[in-house]
Amino acid sequence: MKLTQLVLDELEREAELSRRALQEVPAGKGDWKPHERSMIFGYLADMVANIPNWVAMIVTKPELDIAPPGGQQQKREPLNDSAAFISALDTSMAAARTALQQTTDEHLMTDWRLLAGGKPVIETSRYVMIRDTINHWVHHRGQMTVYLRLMGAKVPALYGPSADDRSF
Amino acid sequence: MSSAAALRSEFERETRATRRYLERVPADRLEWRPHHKSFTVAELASHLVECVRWTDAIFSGDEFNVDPAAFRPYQAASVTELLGTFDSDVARGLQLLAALGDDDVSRPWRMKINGKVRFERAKSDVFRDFTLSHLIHHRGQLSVYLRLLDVPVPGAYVPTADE
Repeated sequence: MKLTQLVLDELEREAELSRRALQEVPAGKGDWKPHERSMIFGYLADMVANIPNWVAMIVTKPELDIAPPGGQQQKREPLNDSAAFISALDTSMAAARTALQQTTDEHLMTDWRLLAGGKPVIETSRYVMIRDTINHWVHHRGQMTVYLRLMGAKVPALYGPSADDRSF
Repeated sequence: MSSAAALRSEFERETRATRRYLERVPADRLEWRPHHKSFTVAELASHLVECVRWTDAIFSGDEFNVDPAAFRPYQAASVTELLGTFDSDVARGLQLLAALGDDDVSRPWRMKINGKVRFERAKSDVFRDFTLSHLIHHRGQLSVYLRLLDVPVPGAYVPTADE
């Protein structure tokens, strides 16, 4: 099977699980966090909705500077309810799908760079970067399910049953 | 890189990161849980071992039968035991993965429940879901537990607030 198709199939599977988690997002709780050193819930859910955009960027751009010398680009308005997060997921998945459908396996094997303040921190093949990005997505979605539990929201069944969904 | 080699290196990378989390599990908080519906620390950490164990079920044969009535989840009695079991399951997984070629990982694998086929998919896909993604998902949950217990959280993909 082609690499591009393999990655796309996996993204589609994970997007379905992310959708289930985002469906349970309670409205207006973006600033909640379980511990003073934790990320706020809104930031975590935003990553769960938007990480597929990173995949599109890895395919179409040569590099990303996470601390560009000229300062950060402008911040987006925070998303505030489940419908907004799901719509963001639909948009980010559409971008990832288009990027993967328009590229080749050879391109995925070429190098991509992550920079911080102009200095390269990671330089590896686009394929490996995309793999790590999907894993990173799963990691933050896992964290988000604990937040959902602690906020009193329902936890969906993802890789197996949850206390709220035994039907798996 | 071949697909079998790619899976092996990813398994190696992710289990290495996972061990850093398990090493930090506080021995005196194994029964703690953040919510009454949540896993305890011991249950969650032991479940990470079970994710690794799927490697054996997926690559030792072409099908695996689950009898839900007889199923007993693994639960470690101590952090020392947990780490010892994790290490031996990881070693077993690496050994199995090292012996595989691309044809082996793309073979179909059947999951049965009480003898009845629940699904059939390529082994590489099942391994990705049941072992790798499943492991990363629950390790993400464990990272929140560690934070709530005031244990410094190791980074999995990027540095954390503690690093």
